[in-house]
Amino acid sequence: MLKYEARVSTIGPYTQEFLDHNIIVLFGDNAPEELVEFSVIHDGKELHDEIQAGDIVQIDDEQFSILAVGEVANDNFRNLGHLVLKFNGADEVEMPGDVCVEKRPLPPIAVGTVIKVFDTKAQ
Amino acid sequence: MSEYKAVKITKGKRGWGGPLVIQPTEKKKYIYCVTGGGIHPVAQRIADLTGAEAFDGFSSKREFDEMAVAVIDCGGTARVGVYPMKGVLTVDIHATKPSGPLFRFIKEDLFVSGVSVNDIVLVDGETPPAEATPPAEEIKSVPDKPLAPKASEQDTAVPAAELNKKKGFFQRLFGG
Repeated sequence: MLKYEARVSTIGPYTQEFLDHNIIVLFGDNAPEELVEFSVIHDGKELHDEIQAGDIVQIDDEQFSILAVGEVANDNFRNLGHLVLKFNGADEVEMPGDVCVEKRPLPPIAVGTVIKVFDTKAQ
Repeated sequence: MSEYKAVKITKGKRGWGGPLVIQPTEKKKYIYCVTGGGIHPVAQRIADLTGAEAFDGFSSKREFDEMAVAVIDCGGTARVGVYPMKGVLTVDIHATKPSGPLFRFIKEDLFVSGVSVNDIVLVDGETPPAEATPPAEEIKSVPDKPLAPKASEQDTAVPAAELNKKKGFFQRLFGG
């Protein structure tokens, strides 16, 4: 099932600082200016079900398996549209807000990029 | 000259950094709350004790030099660094340590984490007891306020055993 769907609306000017560390920081479109600066802002509104290890995050056409989900990641995602995606291949989170996915080159992200999270039963 | 009272905030269980002394002034008069679900009880407690105003960062804008303190519920990567980087005293209700690309800005004299309402005391005088204060561990999962609330939405909790795969994450903080 589809758990979350969002379209990128803004790319903060300092997003590259995090991309260089293989991290994508997402925030919903009500985020304050200082967080927009380094974040990928999107129009997603509703988390239909908690994300968990084994789910898929899809960025446009490219799919990444979710390997680990931190204990506060779902709260942040639901309340703020905030997700910290770490493309580090780790099956254990470093920090409670992390969502770890496969270690592969980051896909291109631009305004209009569609981000989805779903569980594998959907496909 | 200031009518605001100062509070001292110490790190909570598993927390890091601090203690911080928060002294709001006429200029720095906002307890700037950047958490899910409105004003967090920790921000409200700081506001109540100091006499400063709790302010929801998701509602509208305030300048960094108007913030007496920023209260965040950051999971360790983004917000933990942003406010210290701007020179704003920062309180994280989650027990995080310096990490993320901005970790170099996170210093003990700017940042304290794992904070609950009971870690906040008046610098001068006796601190009145906080009313109805749930422990920090419970606070973070209580105010479920989705961006687009739906009446039928249920909180489908994942079993704690599955969520609780946090063992070892502190050891790897400085690894990446």
